[in-house]
Amino acid sequence: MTRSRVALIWAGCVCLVGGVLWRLFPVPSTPQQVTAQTPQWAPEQAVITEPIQPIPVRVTLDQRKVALGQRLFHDPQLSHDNTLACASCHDLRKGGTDRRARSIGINGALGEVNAPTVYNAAFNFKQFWDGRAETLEEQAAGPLHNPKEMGASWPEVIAKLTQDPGYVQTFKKLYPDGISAASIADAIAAFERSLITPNARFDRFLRGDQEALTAEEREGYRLFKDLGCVVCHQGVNIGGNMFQTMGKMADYFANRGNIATADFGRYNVTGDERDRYKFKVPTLRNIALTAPYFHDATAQTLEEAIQTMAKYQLGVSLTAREVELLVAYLNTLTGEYEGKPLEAP
Amino acid sequence: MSFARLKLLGVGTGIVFLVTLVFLQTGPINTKRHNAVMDELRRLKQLDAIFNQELLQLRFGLVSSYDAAGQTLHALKAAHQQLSHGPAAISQQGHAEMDRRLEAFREALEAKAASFEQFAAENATLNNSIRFFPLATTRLLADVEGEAALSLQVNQLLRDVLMYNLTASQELKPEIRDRLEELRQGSASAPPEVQRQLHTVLTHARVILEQKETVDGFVRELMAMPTADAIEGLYESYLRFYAQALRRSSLYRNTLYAVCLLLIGVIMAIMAQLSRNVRLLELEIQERKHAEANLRETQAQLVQSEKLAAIGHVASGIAHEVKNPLAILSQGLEYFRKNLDLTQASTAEALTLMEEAVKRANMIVREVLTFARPAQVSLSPAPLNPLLERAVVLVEKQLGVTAIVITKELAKELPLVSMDQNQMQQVFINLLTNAAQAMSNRGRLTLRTSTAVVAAGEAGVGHRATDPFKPEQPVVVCEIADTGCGIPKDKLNKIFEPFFTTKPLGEGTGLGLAIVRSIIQAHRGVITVESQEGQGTTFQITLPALVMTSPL
Repeated sequence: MTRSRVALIWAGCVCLVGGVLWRLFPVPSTPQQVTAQTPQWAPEQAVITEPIQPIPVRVTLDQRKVALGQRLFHDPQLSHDNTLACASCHDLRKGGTDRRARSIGINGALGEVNAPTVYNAAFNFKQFWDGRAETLEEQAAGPLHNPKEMGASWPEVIAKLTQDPGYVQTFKKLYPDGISAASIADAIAAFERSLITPNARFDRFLRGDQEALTAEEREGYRLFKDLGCVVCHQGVNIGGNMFQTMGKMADYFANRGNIATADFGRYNVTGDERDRYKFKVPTLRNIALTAPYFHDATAQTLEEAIQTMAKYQLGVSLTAREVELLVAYLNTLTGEYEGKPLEAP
Repeated sequence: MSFARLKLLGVGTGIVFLVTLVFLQTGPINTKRHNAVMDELRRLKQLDAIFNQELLQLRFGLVSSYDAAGQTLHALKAAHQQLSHGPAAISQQGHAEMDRRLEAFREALEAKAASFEQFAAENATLNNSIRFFPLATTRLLADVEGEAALSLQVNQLLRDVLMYNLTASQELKPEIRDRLEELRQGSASAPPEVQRQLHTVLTHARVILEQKETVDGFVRELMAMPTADAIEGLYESYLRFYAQALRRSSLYRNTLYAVCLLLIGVIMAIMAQLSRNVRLLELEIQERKHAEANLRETQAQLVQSEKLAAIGHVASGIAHEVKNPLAILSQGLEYFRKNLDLTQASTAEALTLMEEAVKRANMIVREVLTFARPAQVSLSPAPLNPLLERAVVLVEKQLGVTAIVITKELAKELPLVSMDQNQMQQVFINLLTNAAQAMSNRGRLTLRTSTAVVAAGEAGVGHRATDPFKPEQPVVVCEIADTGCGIPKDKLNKIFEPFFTTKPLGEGTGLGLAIVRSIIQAHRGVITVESQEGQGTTFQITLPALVMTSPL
């Protein structure tokens, strides 16, 4: 037995023992940073006593994904015949809507319901009038596949986008699997989360600036609360966080007539009889810019909409003065996008 | 490759395989993941409790925004999804049960979310009426200012309805219903504007009456939803299976420990064995070298003793042959002393010289015969000290009065020694005479006896047949030291050889010390000598002691 062989055996023993000890007492590694899927916003403490909270002035987002989403949002390649983009029906210059009763899809097809605004959609608890999408990511696939809207499909859109080296490169940088249904939806959703309109005059009022509203508008807000409007239209988005039956205090659809499947609302999703005629309470943010109103676009003006709501939802008859005050209040809900007030029609 | 080598290879591979297997089994416990799962479970519990709290706050109007409750539901779903990624290191069975429980929780959560959706709509309707009802009655009362009875009835209705909303019981319900009917019938004659106002008031009162029950029903349903139980079940299952996994893992870990320790033990044992073998091998080599040297030495001794024997043989032959002529010469001389005229001085002197020469020749012949054919030793236990003292007396007589100081350092109670006393006496006389001659009859002679125990490494100690002593054997040591002229170093190792003498020619036979050594060897003893030229010489005799001594 040579000396070097003994040393080798000892070294082996030491390694073995060392390895065992190392395994028994592992070094704690640093925890990985995990980012939440859906960004949460905390209500501002100062105004939590009010049923409505102001829109946060800033949200943290991956700006590269937002930029990519913005390009996709405006890209007609997402429709079957390359004529329509998301922005066609959710025009950021028209309060995030197309200001039509029903949107026009590819080949002139008419949509089933009025297009809701894309602004502040991130604050809605679910997407679509009937809430069939839980998230913005899920929502993106809806209009894309709807034959009366963009009439496309994921494989088709992915094939088109893959032709564009710019897209390929950007996607590769941001997503490990490159261009895919999930990554396209994620980018669009990221952009939509940036579409928020803070600093409405009413938000400034909520944050303590009494002078942001006129006496008349403040009276309108008091009335909005007293009449019970605020029971459904509350939270950050002044709506968008519950379903409510259209025609709670009187039969809206019987009076309107001509009932279509789309009028069944939430029932189309759940099949629950209690959900017939239930719709997501829409946001009242920027409401002055998004006429016509309701899922069936039956109200052309705010006055009309208020009267309908008072009759069918509140069981109240309003005086002309009350309507005037409420309209004055609703006009204070128009916010700013990218630091500029949204344009009035 | 030999069979043993193959076997070794097989055993080695087996051990490595075993260790690897056990090592892998200890792996799956991931504390980080476990902590994450525990956090997620705790969070789930907390969120469920928060949701129930928010539900009650919404019901009783303490909070009017549904955002928070909606977000809590979202968070619950997210937490569930997080858990569905598969919790840590539990067994297959554990995973199956966890999946089942997670599914149960998901169902409960979905039912709760759906129920909450209904609750929100109904609760909003109720709260809408509760908010508006006071305003409606105020407006009505303003219109019916004159009619005291109606005012009273409306006021009572307002009070009852608000009270009804706040209490949990249904007691007030029939009463309010009666009052509503009464008001409706009583208003038949009222002006149309009042009738319209009253209709609104009555409508909202009815909504509150019916809606409260519906909403409370939902609250009860929601509070009774089994989400908390499902979470508790998840918690309990997970902890149980985690404990199981932990036990399993620690079992494997302990096994790994044991196997490793065993392995190290085996390796160390092998190494110890190897190093012992190496040591033994080295010892053996040393022994062999030693034995070889001994063999050479023995061979040399053998040659020497053969030579000596031959010399002895020749010498004794010559001595025998010389002995008879010497006897004749001796008798002739006797005859001459009787018959010759010795008055002439020269004749007497010549006769005396011849007689001395014959005496000396006789002595030489006797010594040669003694050396060549040592008398048979007859051993018997005897004390050493008296023998030594007797020898001193004899030598003193022989040498006459001299200037030699004799110092005796004799040990008392010296063990007996098995010896031939005559021969031993001859040894002492020989040595003492030598000493006296070396000192030219002037100096100090020291006689020393002692007991000792020989140690390995000393002269004559060992396991070989030629070694007279074994280690640890008790011995008697006798030293005779003089302060004479000493022996030169180059001659020291020759003094025991026969016919070697330092004395002037004709004085010694050169056989004295050779005879001494052969006697000591015959007693299984050792004689050594140390000398410093000009300082003195010390002879040391070591003899085996009889251990069973004086039975005093």
